[in-house]
Formats: sequence, C-alpha cells, structure tokens
Amino acid sequence: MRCNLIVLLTLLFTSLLHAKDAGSQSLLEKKITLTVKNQLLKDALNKITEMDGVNIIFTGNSLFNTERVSIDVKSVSLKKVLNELLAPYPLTYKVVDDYVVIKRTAANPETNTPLNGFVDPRDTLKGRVTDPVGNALPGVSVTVIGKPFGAATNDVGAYSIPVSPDDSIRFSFVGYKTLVRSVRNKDELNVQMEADSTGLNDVVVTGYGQVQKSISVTGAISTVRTKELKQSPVANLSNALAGRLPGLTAIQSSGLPGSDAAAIYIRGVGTYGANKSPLIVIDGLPRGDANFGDIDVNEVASVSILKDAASTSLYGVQGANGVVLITTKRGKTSGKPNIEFNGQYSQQRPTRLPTYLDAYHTALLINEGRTNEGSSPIYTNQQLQIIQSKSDPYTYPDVDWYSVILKPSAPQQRYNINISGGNDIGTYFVSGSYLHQGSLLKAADNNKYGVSDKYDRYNLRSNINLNVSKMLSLRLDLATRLENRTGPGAGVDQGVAAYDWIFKMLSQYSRTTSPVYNPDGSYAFGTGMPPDWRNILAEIQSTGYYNNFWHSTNGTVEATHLLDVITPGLKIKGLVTFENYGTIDYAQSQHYDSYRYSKDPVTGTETYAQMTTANSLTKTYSTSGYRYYFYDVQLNYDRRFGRHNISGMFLGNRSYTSVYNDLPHVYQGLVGNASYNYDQRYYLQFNFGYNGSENFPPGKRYGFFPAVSAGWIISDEEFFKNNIRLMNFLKLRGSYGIVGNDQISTSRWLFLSNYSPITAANGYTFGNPGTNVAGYYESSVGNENVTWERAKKADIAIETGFFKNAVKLTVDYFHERRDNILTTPRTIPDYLGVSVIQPKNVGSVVNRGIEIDLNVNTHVGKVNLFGNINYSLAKNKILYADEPQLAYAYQYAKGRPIGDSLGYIADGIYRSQAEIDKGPKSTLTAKSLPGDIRYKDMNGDGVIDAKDRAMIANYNFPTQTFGGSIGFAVYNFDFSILFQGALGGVANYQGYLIPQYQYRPYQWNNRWTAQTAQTARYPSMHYNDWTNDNVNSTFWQYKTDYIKLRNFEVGYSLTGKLLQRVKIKKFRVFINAQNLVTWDKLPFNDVDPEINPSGNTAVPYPINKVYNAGVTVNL
Amino acid sequence: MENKTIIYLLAFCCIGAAASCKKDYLNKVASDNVQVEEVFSTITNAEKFVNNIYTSLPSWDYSNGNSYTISSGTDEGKQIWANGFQIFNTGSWNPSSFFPISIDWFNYYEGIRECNTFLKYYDLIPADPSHPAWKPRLKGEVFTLRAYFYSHLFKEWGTIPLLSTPVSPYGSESDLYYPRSSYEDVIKFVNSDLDSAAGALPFAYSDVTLLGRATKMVGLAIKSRMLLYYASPLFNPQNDPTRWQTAASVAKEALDDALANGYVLNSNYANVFLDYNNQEVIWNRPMGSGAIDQVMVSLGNGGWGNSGPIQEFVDAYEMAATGLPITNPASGFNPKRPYVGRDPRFYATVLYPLEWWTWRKIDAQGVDKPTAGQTASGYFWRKYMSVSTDLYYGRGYVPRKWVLFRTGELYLNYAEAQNEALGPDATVYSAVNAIRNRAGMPNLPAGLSQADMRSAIQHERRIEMAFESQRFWDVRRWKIAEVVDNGPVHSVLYSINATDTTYTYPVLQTRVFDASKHYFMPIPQSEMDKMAGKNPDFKQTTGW
Repeated sequence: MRCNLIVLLTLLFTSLLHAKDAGSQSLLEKKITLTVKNQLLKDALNKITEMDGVNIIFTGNSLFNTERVSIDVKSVSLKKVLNELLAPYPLTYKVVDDYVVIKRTAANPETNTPLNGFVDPRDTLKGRVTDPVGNALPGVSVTVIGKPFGAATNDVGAYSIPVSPDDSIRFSFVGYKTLVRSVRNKDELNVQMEADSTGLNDVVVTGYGQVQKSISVTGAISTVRTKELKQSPVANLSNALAGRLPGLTAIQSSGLPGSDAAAIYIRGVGTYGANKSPLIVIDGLPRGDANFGDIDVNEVASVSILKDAASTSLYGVQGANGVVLITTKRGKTSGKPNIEFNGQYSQQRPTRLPTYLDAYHTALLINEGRTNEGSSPIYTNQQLQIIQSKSDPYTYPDVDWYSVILKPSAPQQRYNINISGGNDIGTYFVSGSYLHQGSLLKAADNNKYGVSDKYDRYNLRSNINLNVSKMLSLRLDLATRLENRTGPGAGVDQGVAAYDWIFKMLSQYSRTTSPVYNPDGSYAFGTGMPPDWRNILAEIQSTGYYNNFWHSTNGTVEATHLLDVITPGLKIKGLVTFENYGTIDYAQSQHYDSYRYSKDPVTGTETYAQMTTANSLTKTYSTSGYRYYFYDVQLNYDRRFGRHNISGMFLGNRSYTSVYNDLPHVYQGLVGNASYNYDQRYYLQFNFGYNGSENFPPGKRYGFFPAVSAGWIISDEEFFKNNIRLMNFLKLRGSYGIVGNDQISTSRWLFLSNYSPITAANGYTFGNPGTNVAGYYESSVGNENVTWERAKKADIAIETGFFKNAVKLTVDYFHERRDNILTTPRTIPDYLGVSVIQPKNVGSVVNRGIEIDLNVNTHVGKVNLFGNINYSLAKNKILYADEPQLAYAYQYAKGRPIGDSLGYIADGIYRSQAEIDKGPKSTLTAKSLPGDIRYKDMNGDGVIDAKDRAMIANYNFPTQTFGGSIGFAVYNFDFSILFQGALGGVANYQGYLIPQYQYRPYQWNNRWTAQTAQTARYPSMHYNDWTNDNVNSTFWQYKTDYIKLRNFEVGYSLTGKLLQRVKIKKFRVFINAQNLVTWDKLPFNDVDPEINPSGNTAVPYPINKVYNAGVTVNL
Repeated sequence: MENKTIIYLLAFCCIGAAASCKKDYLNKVASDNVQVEEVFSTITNAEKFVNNIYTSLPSWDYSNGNSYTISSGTDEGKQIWANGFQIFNTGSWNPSSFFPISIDWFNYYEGIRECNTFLKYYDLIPADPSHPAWKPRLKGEVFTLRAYFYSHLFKEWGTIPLLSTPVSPYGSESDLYYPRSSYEDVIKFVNSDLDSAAGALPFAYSDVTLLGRATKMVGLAIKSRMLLYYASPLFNPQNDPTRWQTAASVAKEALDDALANGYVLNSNYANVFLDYNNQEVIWNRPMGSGAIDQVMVSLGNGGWGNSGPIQEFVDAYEMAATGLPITNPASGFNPKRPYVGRDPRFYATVLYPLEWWTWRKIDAQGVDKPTAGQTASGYFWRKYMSVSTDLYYGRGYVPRKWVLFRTGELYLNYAEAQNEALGPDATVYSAVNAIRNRAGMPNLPAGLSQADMRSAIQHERRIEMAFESQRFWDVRRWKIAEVVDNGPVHSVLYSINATDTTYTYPVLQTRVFDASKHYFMPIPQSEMDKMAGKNPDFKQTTGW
C-alpha cells in the first residue's frame, strides 16, 4: 500500500516534469518595461538589471560609457529591447546560464552558436588571488563569464586562463565575496578577495546531502566549521562544540580517555521520554554508529545543528530532538594536490579533584560523630596523638590516595595527514589520523603484563568524487575508525568498568582507610576497609588487564545522473551505504595477595592476616557486532524561470540494522521538499517526511511530518535599500511543522503482548507426591496504540547585517509542544489486573526559548577582527504526565520542569535542642540531633514524613547557555579565545557532601558544633545514623552556573621565500588550551559543575584541562 | 545515455521498489515474544497458562488476607515485628498508608485478569479427542479460580468491581472505570461462575497428578463460605432469614457431597495440617517445606518467632474433661497449672512456656525471647509446625500444604446457618459435636438456646480453625470485632521457685477497633486518586 504510493508519486513526478519542458531561451522572452531618455547605454542596461532582475554583463567596450540612448517600451520582450538598444552599435548578445552577456561583435560569427562550441582563446590571463592580508588563496574558482571553461588557483593562489580581451572574469570561493573583473586587454590580473563576513554566500548543508545558500535558508540552522573546531585540542569532537553554536547544550560529565564525549542537546530538552538526544547525521545520513565525536576533526568540514521543524522534518519520525549534521571534507578542483600534516602534543590535567581531610582531622570527625550520637569515641586521645604525629603509618595510616593513584597530568598526542585535490575528472580527500590519550593513573604503567593504560584511535577516510560523464557523477566514500582501550583488570570480577571501580574507591576511601603497603612490602588491607573493598593500588597494578577494541567501517556509493533529457534541472541520485561496527572485548584478570597487618601494642608481635589471595589469570571476553545498510533514491529538480526559482527533492529510503543479539531494526520512508523563491527575496519552502518505524504496530507505523517555512529578505526591497544605510541586510524567516521521535522507550515491541513461560522448577505444585508444573503468564500487555512522540515546532527569526555585514545579529524565538510522550500511566486502576502496564503516549511538555547570535568580522587596518557572542535560553514545563489526583499539590510533576523529583524542602539546620523540641518531628531518624537538617512541614501535620516531599529540581541541566569568542589576525599572528557558560542548572550534591567514609575540608570548616551552633552551614557529624540528612532535599542543592575559559589559541604562520624554497606552502605553529579556568558559585571547589552528582557518591574521572602545542604544514 | 534508457531505468527502479514492498518492510516478526496464539493453540500450553493462575491463590506467608500473620490482626495472636499486622492492632491505618491486606486488591484482580484472558481465548484451544474432558476441565478450573478470587475480595471489601473480560488499559477512559457492585451482584456473579464450573469438574480426581486442582467440591466450599458471609450481620444488617436458609442448604449440600466423596474428618486433628495428603482437606496450597518453620519457630530453635498466640486465645480453650470454659469454677481449671487438662486442640495449636519442642523446652523468657524493642506473648504457634524440622542444620524438612478449605469448616458452616435459620435443632448439635468429638471434647450440653448455640458455634470456630485465617474475618462478619479486638490483650510471664511456678499476665498491647470504619477494608488511596473526578461511581468504603 505504502510502496504503491512511492511508485505512484515517482511516476507522477516524472510525468509532470515531462509536461513542462521549458525553453532555455525564456530569459529573452521576459517582458521588460523600460523608459530612458538620453542616458548612457551603461545606465540603460543597468536599469534593466535593477528593475527586472535580468543579469546583464557588459564589459570591455567604451561604447557603454559614451553612447547615449533613448527607449520607451512597455511589456516588450527582452530580446526586442536589446535588439533595439544595441542595433546601432557593433555589439551583440547571448544568453549564458542566467546572464545576458553583451560583447563586441566578433570577427567570427559565433554569436548564436551553442555553448559547447564556443572556444576562442586569444590570450592567456594570469594572476594571483590573495586574501586581504596577502595570503595566497588556493582553490579559488576562476571562470570566464559566458564561456564554458574555468580554472582554479593553485597552492600559491596563482591561476591562468584563456580569455578574450573583452571577457569578464568571475572569482568565487566559499567564504569570500565573489568578484567580477574585466580583462580589458590586460594579461595579468591580481585580485584580493574579501572574506565574506556575511557568510550569506556560504552554503549550508541541510538534510539528505542537500546544499543551500545560507541566504535562502528558511529553517533554523547553526553551523560551526573546521577552523573553530580545530581550535579545541580535545579528543572527542563533541567537546569542541560547547559555546560555538546557539541552541546547543553540551555537557561533559567525565574526562575518561576514550569515553569523554559530551552529551549534546538541541534547544534544551523537550521530553521526559527515553530519548532526549538529537539524531546524528553524517554526510546527510542517519548512522548506526552515531558516535560522531570520534571522527577526527581534520576530516570534518562542518558541524551543523538543525533546530526547527523546517530543517528536521525531512527526518520525520526521528527528528524531534533536532539533528546534528556532520559534513566531512571533500577535495577541490585545485589541480595540484594539497598535502597537509597536523601534529599536536598535549598535557591533560584535571580541572578539579576532590580533596579530603587528613587522617587526624578525619579521626576527630569520626569521634565527634560518635559523641554526638551518644556513643563512645572510636579513637582514644593517645591514638589521636599517634595519628597526628604519623608515627605509626601502618596501624594508623594517613594516605592521600589521589596522589598515590593519579599523576598530575596525562599526555595526549594526535597526528593527521590528509591529501586532497582534484580536477575535471574528479576530486579526492584522503585522510589518516592517529590519536593517543594517556590516562591519569600513575601506577597503570607498572602493570606487570606490560599493558599500559590508554586510548588509541585510528581514523581513515577517503572521499572521492568522479565525473564519469557530463551527465553522470559518482561519489565514493570510505571511512574507518579503530579504537583500542586498554587498562588494568580492576573491576572485571565485579562486572564494573575499571575506571568506574577505581574512581568509586578513590572517592570513598578516607585517608585513614588503609596504608598502601605493609611493613614487609606486601599490599595492605587496612582495618578500616570493609571486606568488599580493595587495595586501590593493587587493583591497578596486579589485577591483569583489559584490552577492548572498537571497529567501525562505513562506505557509501552515490551516483548522480542529470536528467536534462527529461527536463533541464532534473537529476536522479541513488545511494547505497553500509556500516559495520562492533566491539571485541578481552580481559585477563586475577586477584592478588593482600594482608591485614597488626601489631600487638604490648608484645610488639606482628601478624599478617591474608585478606585476598592471588590466583592465576582468568580470561573473559565478549564481542558485539552491528551491520547497517541504508539506501535511497532521490530526484532533484532545480530550475530558474526568470525571477522564479523552483527546486524540489523527492526521496525514498530504507535502512536495516542487523544486531548481534536482537532482531534487526528497520526504517523506511519518503522525503520531499519543494522550494520556491521569487527574485531571491521571497522564499517559501515545504518539507515533509513520510516515514515509519517498526517500533509501532501496523496501522500506527507511518506518520506524515510536514513543515512549512518562509523567508523574506526585506533588505532587498527598494524601500529598504533607499532609506536604510547602516543596516545592509534584513531577513525575516519563520517555520512551523511537526516532527516525530520514535526512540521513546528502551524496549521494543511495546505494542505486543507477551506471554512468558515459567519453568517447571518455578511453577505451581500439583499432585501427590507434589510435582511442580510449568506455566505461562501474561508478562506484559501490549499497548496497541503506541506511537511516536510528536513535536509541533514553531520558529520565528530575524537576521540582520550592519555596516556591510561587519556586524550580524540573528535572533530566533522558538516554541515547541511535545505530545504523545511515552508515560507510564498512573491512572490505570489496579482492578484491571495488569502487572506490567506498558507506557502510553499521553505526556505533554512545552519548551520555549530564544537564541541570539551576534557576529563581528571586520578589519581595523591590517588587523582582521572577528568575534561571536551567542546565547540560548530554553525552558521546558511538563503540561501533562498522567498523574493521579494527588493529595498534595506540591507533589505534582505537572507544571514543573523536566527532571524534578520528590524531595524535602530544607529549612536550615536545628541550631539547638530547643529548636528540635519546638519543630515538627522528623520520622526520618529515630532521634534528631542539634545540627540536623530541618525540613519544612509542608502539610502542617507536625510530622516530617514522605508526605512533606515536594517536587524539587534535581537535574543538572542548564536552561541558559552562552558562548563568547573573540579573535584577531594580524600579519602572521592569529589569536582567539572562547568563553562559555551555562546558567540555570541545579544539582544535588548529597552524595558528595554527606560523609560516607571520607571527610571533606568544608565539613571540618562549616559543620555544626556546639561552638558554631549559630553560624554553621553544614549539619553536625553523625557516625551511624545519617538518615535524617541523607535524603533528597534542597539542602544539598546548589546552582551549577558556571563560566569557563573554554579555549584559547595563538598561532603563527610562516610564509615567504624560505618556505617556498623548501616547497612548503604554509607552516603554522600554534598553542592552544581547553578548559583553562572555571568560575562557578559552588561553595566547594573540588567538583566540576558540569558533572551531574545526583545519586552519586563516586566522583567520576575528572574533566581535563588540555594544554596543547601543534604544527600544521601544507605541502 | 539515451533519453529512453533513463526512462526505462526509472521505470525499472519503480517496479523494483514496488516488488520489494509486497510485504510491509517494517513488519518484522517479533520472534522473541510469545503471542497469545502460541499459548492457546495447544491444550498443553493452555493448561500451563491455567497452572500459573493457581499462583495467585493465597498462601501461608506474605501479608495477604489469608496468611498466618492475619491471626495477629485479631484476638488469636500478636506479631513481634513492628510492620505488618500490628497496625490492625493499633488502629493506625488508613487508605494512604500501607496496610497488609491492601496488596490483595491487586493480587486477586491480577488472578482475575488471567482467568478472564483464558476465557476470552478459550475457543482457540483445540480439544484433545483422546481426552475429551481435558479442555472443559480447564474452563471449570478457571471459573472456580475466578469465583474464589472474587469471594476473597468480597469478604475484604464487600462491594467490588466485577470484570469478566481482560480490559485493555490503553483503551478510552470510559472503558477503564467500573463502579463497585453490590453484595447481591457479587454473589450472583460468583454463583454463576461456580455453576458454570460444576458441570465440567469432578468432586475429586482419581488421577493423583491432578490433586490440588479445583474440583466441584471446591466450588461448593467457596459457595458455602460465601453465602454464610452474605447471611451474616455485617452483610445482612436487615437479618434477611432467607439468606441463612440458603446458606444452610448450600452448606448441607456441600457437607453431604464432601462426605459422600471421601472428604471426611481426619481422626487426628493435628495431622490435618501436617500430612501432605489427607482426606479432610478440600483445597490447599502447597507451601514448600521449611519456610513456615523458619518464620514461626521460636528463636531458640533457630526460627524468627514472628508471631505467637495471646493469653486471651489460650484462655478460650475449654477443659477437656468437663467441656466447660476455664472461667467456670466447675471446669476443673487450676490457675497454678494452667496448661493441664485443656481441649486437646490446645496442644496441637499452641506451644506454651516450658513445653517441650524438639530437643528442648520452650523458654520464652530466655533464649526464645525476641530482641530488644519487640514484645512477644510468651506463646508460640504449633499448628503446621513440623517437629522434625532442624533449622540449625537445615534438615528434617517436611513438605506441607496450607489449608484453604476442609470438611471441618463445612460442619461449622452448616451448624451456624442452620441455627440462625431454624434454631438449634438436632442437625446443629450433631454437626458441632462431630467436630468436638473428633478433637476429643465432650458433646455440647443439650437444650441450648439459639443465642447460646450461636456463642457455642462461634467459640468452636475460633478453636477449631485457629490460625487458619478465619477468625479475623469471622469477628468482622459477626460484628463482634469492636468488642474482641478493642481493649487490652495479655501475655504470659512465669517464675519458677523450688516448689512452684507462678504465672502472671501483663498487658501486652491495648487494641483499637473503630466500628465506624474498620469492618471493611478501605480502597488504597492511590487507587482512589487514579479515579478521582473520572469514576464518580467508584466510592471509598463507607467510614473511610
């Protein structure tokens, strides 16, 4: 049924195109109205251009500037007008592309010969193209207007091209303003191209590999390009995005080598469902291995985020959380190959590490906790003295575990070589990269099996384009990524990742827990250690190792065929891509000998009790594998009829992912796009995705996701141009549409009921003698109505440019309403008897916000100055979550932001016993002590219990993010700096701040004691019973607002003759750094504000500062 | 390329796309799911589905309305753990807080859903030509199970929603909301289920592998108990005599059928609860072999001593020789030696201070004393406990079954209904005396008034069916809970000197029963919240 639709639409599309076979000469038929009286021929022609949008090019003849003409016509064809105007002069014209070229009548009468036969090189024009600073610009496209040939500048910016004396030459290059110059009998033409600070001629990659000029974009898209991405010396690309893109929130919560990716969100979060993350699209296609951050930055041309419905609806059922679109680099038709080498060396240092009290103060706090609770102290005064004097480090240890286990810094190296180039036949970009990230574990290098602790990554990419014929072109991309993580065998026997295990131990061990070694050199197992704890150093040195491999290879073949034979501007594309990825994990783990040492204080007898026993290596291994296929066929149409520009795209696709341990995942869909613009001033676009997901039952699988958008370039209107000076660009755009999210649950087949078998062993007993029998039960009741989340998104924006686009400001407002959020129903009566109720599509969330993007790009003398400030605000609110009618209004999730949870409202701490006696009685603990947290009695019943919990923030997710960068380039120096910040996050530090085993300095400094009763900020010490304080409450909540100096870079580029002599085009050295400084409002400065501490006692692997030096060499 | 070639190519693509779409590309068979067809397409699988419904039967443990712990919610015993049934003693329970029986609300409805699912797909099940009775038997079992689940909900909540199909939770809201049906409707529904079941089931199975499955006898036992409740003061405030008459005739029918089919009284009262199979038990739930000992046996024997009888319950046992209560000076009771000469069922039910158990004497003030903060009565339960169990060495475990229905109850059901319907006639005497004589107790004195007989039967039920999850509900349906479960209850302490042992009976606990609301269970507040404003016909239990 659906497929018939595909066929039908395809046929319809093609037949329509057949019907409308427009002529190429239609430009000349354009109706012109023109009145001039005795004006220069030049002005008359310009007037046609201005009024009617006909591009007329005329150069190389003085007649235009001397001859005066008069004409008065109304709605006459351009052909007639030109004939009349030019008749008296030795001038002729012809139509080339969208231009009318007027030139001197040539000796040979090829005036009307078709394009392809036009070859008349009379001279060779040479020249050099540079940027305003004087740097050569390679790869600039140099074309002779009206002639079918062109050239590109070489690596020193030089070009040569055959021309006629009256030709006009066009220089164009992405990112620079296009220039048109006349030849005028010269044989050398050097030009300086100005960077196009507007970026309006930039192209923007949109869904499914479509390319659009950014001026014509009517959706909300933000892009960051290689240059900025490369400034961040981070291993994972996702960490280079923070602060670069308005609308993007990047949260890095761990610095673990090979696993330090930031979580990416677009426009905050709009759902409390299972998947809040954007769809990752690489070179136009959703990928199975969506781990885009591990693509080497040198392979990446740009990272865009698609934010509104207009830009994401093409991805239909998958696009509701936005799309991150990565575009890899391709070669340019520059002739000679460009060989680039990048080498960098970095040191990674933790931004922050937890600090702990020394053994003496820890012991004092332990005793204090015991005393507060009315029990006897653990340490006697004599013992305290020994601890303080550190005279018996084996019985009373004082170990700073962080310095025993961690190095101050870890190295990182990365190398890349890439070669690109191309000519008429094709282009290529080939890149190979190696990344090495060392870890902070000091002892890991002492692993006796010689397996060090590191992350290695190899990236290879080859992007090839081939022009097989005038009509057929091919694209062939191959990319591979190999990763290797190795480390100690710690945690393998616990089923826990080594680093999780090590850092969990590190953040739980107090300095009194255990010595590292015993007097005889064996691993210690201190008396403070519970039996399930381990000697951390031994865990790293003597537990064997793990060796985990990740591999991912993908290949794409795309063929594009022009269908000009059917109608000009039509082409068909077919694409097949595959991807193989998976893991090979291998570990050899073992135990080690450790002993609990004790010394009899009287007799001095030493004993060693063995606590863990060495054994031989045990191997564990696992593999996983995925294979992903995707193919699509698309029809593209792009055509201009005078001032009417029409383009369209129609695409059908399918994907199939084989999974090593599950049924395959499949998608299919249709995608369409139709754009129209009038005179490049009024833009209208319609996009849709019609696609399905196997996550839903038949009949509910397919959805239609349309979006409309429009743009108006007000600054191109006469009234604007004539009246407004400072503002040179003004565009309004808006969009509205619907997008879906099918990743709504972690489980599949929600629509199917499932019956589970019960084995006889676990079954009911019948008979004599009693015999157990097997059974079946309805283990879940399928929700036959389950379907995708639906986001209705609106976006309205204003784009401006001031002072010739030296300053640009874009402001977006968006409003999203997400419905159908999969919600575990809380209003299904128990008497239905359903044991596992599948969630229903009933939740609603509204998400609103603004984005502001301010760009500055200007010259002050020789200094090229650029800067960017971007700010995003996104606030969500739950509108409906299928909550029952609650007794206490303050417990509703409805009306609250996503991520709130029930907790107590703290009301300071009890300063005295008298306050306890007065206040409501806490049922959280058997006995409240002075210094305990006092909670608000929300329902006023005189008792603090679960009913007094209210919805409180508990999700370290900022509502506002901003970035500010500024940079300048002068002579050969360049400098840039990026600040990034986030506001509005609230996190619960209960797990960090309540002493479990470890004690922190701020507890010592700010705890309640009888002396500090009135000023204390933290509760009094407990030893056994922290239950009153150790609950989710506002007491432990802190705002995690922060500003980070994310990035700065200084570079120096060598140019000049010396380099040319050694055949080096460019040599650049630079130093840069990441995460240099963090400013925040946390009252303790040993936890990074980006880490989400909720529910954690373990401080994860720290986030790193990276100091980096590198070179880039272009050959 | 030629114009035409391309068009052919396009056409080819279209045809290719069309061809590959014959089947819905997204229609993957979820082969790791078991679908309803698989369960009901063979009779063996369908039987497995029925087997699992039996797991919703109440069991001895957990805090359901039929468990051992419920004895401590009434004047039988007391639990030492602070959670669970203690809150019925203190009256500090409400719809918002957890109360043990609240879980029955979901558990029985879960079983009912399974029954409804089976009945919905019954027609899918192929009959087995060589065992024609098989398929209808399964249906009969399921009807009986559903009736049993509803009968439990009936005694606990009174008015309840009646669902006869597995309702999809994802339908429109109006499909989800049911009112609470009246007593009459519940009785009608259950009776109709049992009548449907009766034709398909035998009174007893000759195939020993089927023992434990629902029978026609089980259906009659359910009916008998339910109609007795329906006639009782709590459910029958107008005292409609026809209800008693119906209860009496059904009880008579049930008793006659039981006796005719071999369900006769076991000559040894204690063994009713210890023998894996005995003729008196009509329905039961196998309960493994050591868990009940672990929970109930005293601390000195390695158990947890979770609950024990209270003094009031011990005092209820008559003197064996005279058949008189110990309060009667003629009974022969000696306060110095209180545990001598009592109703023999006392010794099968209660472990009292200084009694021998396994290799040792119970020492409630010594090693059998619970940990600090917990108070115990000084007595332990003996009913169901196997003396061979050795918790220390994990051996000697004997499998047992938790009794759901036994013939003894049918005698007393009949006696009670008949006494209320017609007065204490000879059949009433003979029914009660049959129970008393089996235990070794003398006949009731002749010439009792209807009221005296009522008291005698109530006493007999208390003694005969102690610890069998009956008393908690009996005191409610008789509306005497406000008396017997309201006020102080006592424990026992003893002191031994050279010549004598002295017993004292300190107050163990003062119990609270609020007659305005405690007779029926409240609907858990979380359930009321779900329906607030949406299902106005669903009302909270009166008084709550």
